[in-house]
Amino acid sequence: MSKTNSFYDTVDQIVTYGIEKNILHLFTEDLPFEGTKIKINSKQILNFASCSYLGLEFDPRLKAGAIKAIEKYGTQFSESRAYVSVGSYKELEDLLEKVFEAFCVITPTTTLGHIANIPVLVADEDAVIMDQQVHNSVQTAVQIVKGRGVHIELVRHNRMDLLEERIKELRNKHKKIWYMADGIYSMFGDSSPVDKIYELLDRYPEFYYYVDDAHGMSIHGKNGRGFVLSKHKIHEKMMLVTSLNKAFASGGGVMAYGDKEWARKVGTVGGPLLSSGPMQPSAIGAAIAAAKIHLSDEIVEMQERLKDNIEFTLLMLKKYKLPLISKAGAAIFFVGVSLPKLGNNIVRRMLDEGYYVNLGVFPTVPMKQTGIRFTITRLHTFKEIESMISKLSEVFPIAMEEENISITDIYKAFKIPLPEDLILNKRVDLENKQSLLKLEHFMSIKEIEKESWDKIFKGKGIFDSDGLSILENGFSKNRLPEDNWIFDYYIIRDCNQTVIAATFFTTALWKDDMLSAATISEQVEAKRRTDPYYLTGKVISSGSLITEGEHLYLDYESSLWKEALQLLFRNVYSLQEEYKADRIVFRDFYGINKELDNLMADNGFFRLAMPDSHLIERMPWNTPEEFYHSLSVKSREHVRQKILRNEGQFDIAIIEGHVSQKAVDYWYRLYLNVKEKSLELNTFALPRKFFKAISEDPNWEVIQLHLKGIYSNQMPCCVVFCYKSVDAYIPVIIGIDYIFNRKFGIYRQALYQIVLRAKQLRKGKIMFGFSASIEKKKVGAKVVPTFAYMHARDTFQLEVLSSISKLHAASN
Amino acid sequence: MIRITTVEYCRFSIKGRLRLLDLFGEIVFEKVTKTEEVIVFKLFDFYVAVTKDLGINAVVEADPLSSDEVFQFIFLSENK
Repeated sequence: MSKTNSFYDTVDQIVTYGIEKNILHLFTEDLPFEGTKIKINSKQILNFASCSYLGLEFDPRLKAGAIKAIEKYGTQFSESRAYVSVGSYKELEDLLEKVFEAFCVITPTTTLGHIANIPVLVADEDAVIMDQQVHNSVQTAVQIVKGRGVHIELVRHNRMDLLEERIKELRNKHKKIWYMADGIYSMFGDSSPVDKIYELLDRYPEFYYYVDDAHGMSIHGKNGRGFVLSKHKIHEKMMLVTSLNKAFASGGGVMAYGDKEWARKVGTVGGPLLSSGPMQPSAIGAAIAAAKIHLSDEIVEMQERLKDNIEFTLLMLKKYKLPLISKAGAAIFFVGVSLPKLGNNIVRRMLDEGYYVNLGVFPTVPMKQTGIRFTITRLHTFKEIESMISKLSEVFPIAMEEENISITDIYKAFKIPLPEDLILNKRVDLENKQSLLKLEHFMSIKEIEKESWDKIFKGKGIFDSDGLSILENGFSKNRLPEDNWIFDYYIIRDCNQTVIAATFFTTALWKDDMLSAATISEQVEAKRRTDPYYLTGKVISSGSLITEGEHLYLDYESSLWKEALQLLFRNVYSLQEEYKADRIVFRDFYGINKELDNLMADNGFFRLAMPDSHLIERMPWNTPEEFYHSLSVKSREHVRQKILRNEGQFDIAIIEGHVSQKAVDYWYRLYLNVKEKSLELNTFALPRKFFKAISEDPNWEVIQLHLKGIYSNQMPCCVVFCYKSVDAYIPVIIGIDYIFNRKFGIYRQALYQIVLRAKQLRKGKIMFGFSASIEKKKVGAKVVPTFAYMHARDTFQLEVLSSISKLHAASN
Repeated sequence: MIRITTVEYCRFSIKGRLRLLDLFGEIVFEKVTKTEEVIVFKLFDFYVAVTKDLGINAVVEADPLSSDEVFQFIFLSENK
């Protein structure tokens, strides 16, 4: 699996899980419906997920408008607007200009509106700052201008102080600075600080505002012109895109401009307006009827009724003491549940009880900030709202108990203080369910009996007791923060003292792009030349940055393995608080265990692909000749041509025991040569001290390759640091002088010598590690797809990385 | 038991207040004159007077009552 696909794989994992639980990808039955009720799976359901906040889609005038337009023009008018538009297009644009008191252009969708606007309005010398949570359709359109070299960056959500800092810095380098944001955000229902943005518009001539107000349209402002324009008239340096597809109930998007020339230019050259199809007659007919309602006093009454419904909902949420996360004002509500497992449980229960609410889950919100998202429309009655919220408060504690989540956990996940007068159960007695398990926590491998740790982990990697002892020494008391790791060991046993789960975690500074494509790391590394800790963060990881293998031991035969793992989650979440770590990673899973996969997703961990690992798992040969004949025909040719032909050019030595500091320094230089080229798994360089320690440790040895004759400079051209585990030979670190690598195939020769050495030591397998798949396969290694599970407390850094990744793809 | 305070009640429009009274209120007093109809509701732990202008056939007020006002209504009711 390619690393660059992992974002989509992660989303696929989460959505598929929701589909399997019958809470996503649902269909209404093919029956007429009106108002707030729909029928799903033969059951009458009260719908609390519609974005048609005014319920205008059932208004007879809109229906009649659509029907009349179809009768007049047919079901479609299939010509680009650059040539001919149906006459009613003009009528709709004129009506919308009255609604917005601005210059308007309409498009078939809001997304196409962004694609029409952004490439035309943003010039090459401009800069774009996107709010972290700006709608995906804006981010998609921005990719187009990135391809032209426009400076793009993200700013933390609604942080006007940071925005102003960036304006000050960028205003001298760029002609215009565009801030792109939503009016009302679609998940938490919170809004842009419009007053402050208008202040910035007036203060900085270079500052421009591009806003998507889809969720504020119709429900706010004079003539329903939306949330942003409910407070101010359109600014001359402002561009507003909104949807006719939500509360406007007809379809299409509208772009409102403070500058007439902008409207003319986008209307003339905006990509989708030149070459894509127009808004269709039925939608135009409905939109004209909706616009007329917006221009009448009736809209005020409709807004008022919805406002009452919003007010009543807030009241009910408060009365029932539900953990409301969203802010007042929008018709979108978000009740926090923390982990996805509780969200899944509640949505499923609500559906069973006859209420449809949404699951707000990653990637639209951080994993541990999952919630129940629901919307209120004008058509809901107070009774319907009360019955839904009352039911929600009834199923909430039941689901919490079932999923072992306390109300304290929920408030903590959203970083908000726990109210004093909670009705919901404050504590869930975890002890009952997990009393059959005993957890032991150690801070050093020295505190654990060697035999008991090695019984679990010997032969699985370099993390048996001796290996970890060396790691603890190597990664402590160093000068640089990235070279000092914290070690935590956990062993969970059942009442018979049988180990059900065990692992160790290291807490260290990681590069956020560690698992990104090398092309992305190249861009990030360029920034790190001036800011070495750019896009880095503290991570708690099972295993460590240098170990590889199955770091998490789980006894799947035990009926308690899931409880044991959840106990471990609980403890590692506490570690996250204590160490203030950004992320938790469980790494090195070979293949997908569906049960484990679901448990991970339920507990806030998403799956991501790591680089493939490589393994020679059997060596049923005795001599180099037999090894050669054990390979495939193609590999034999490779070995003959690229390895055996050059073997005579090398002197091979095995170094064990004491070595001079000078030799270690040279090896370290060779290692740095490789490190600089290895962006596929981008980590900080290992500390020099660690090399001295492993060189002299009896469990480690160094394979050293010297070139002979005229190519020799008396110094080795390659060193491989290998760990000798009980049954496995594990080459962990390599260093190369690349000058003659191409001529003599130094890296390939090293791989071959590793194989021979492993056999000489009578090891049963070789754990070849990540990367260089083609070369490793030629010497008989098999490719092992490897996965990790990650939990991120805050997704901002990952979103920055993702935007670099998307923008990189766009610019190519 | 759900409770709504007078401050919370006053955040609603007149139509919203009537919907609240319809759902949770209980009529305690009713008075009709030539020009208006006044209905007093008990809503949780406070009272609300709804005034309908008979001239325009529309509710013009649905405000909470102070204790003095409640007393006046009850006094009037008892001495009717």
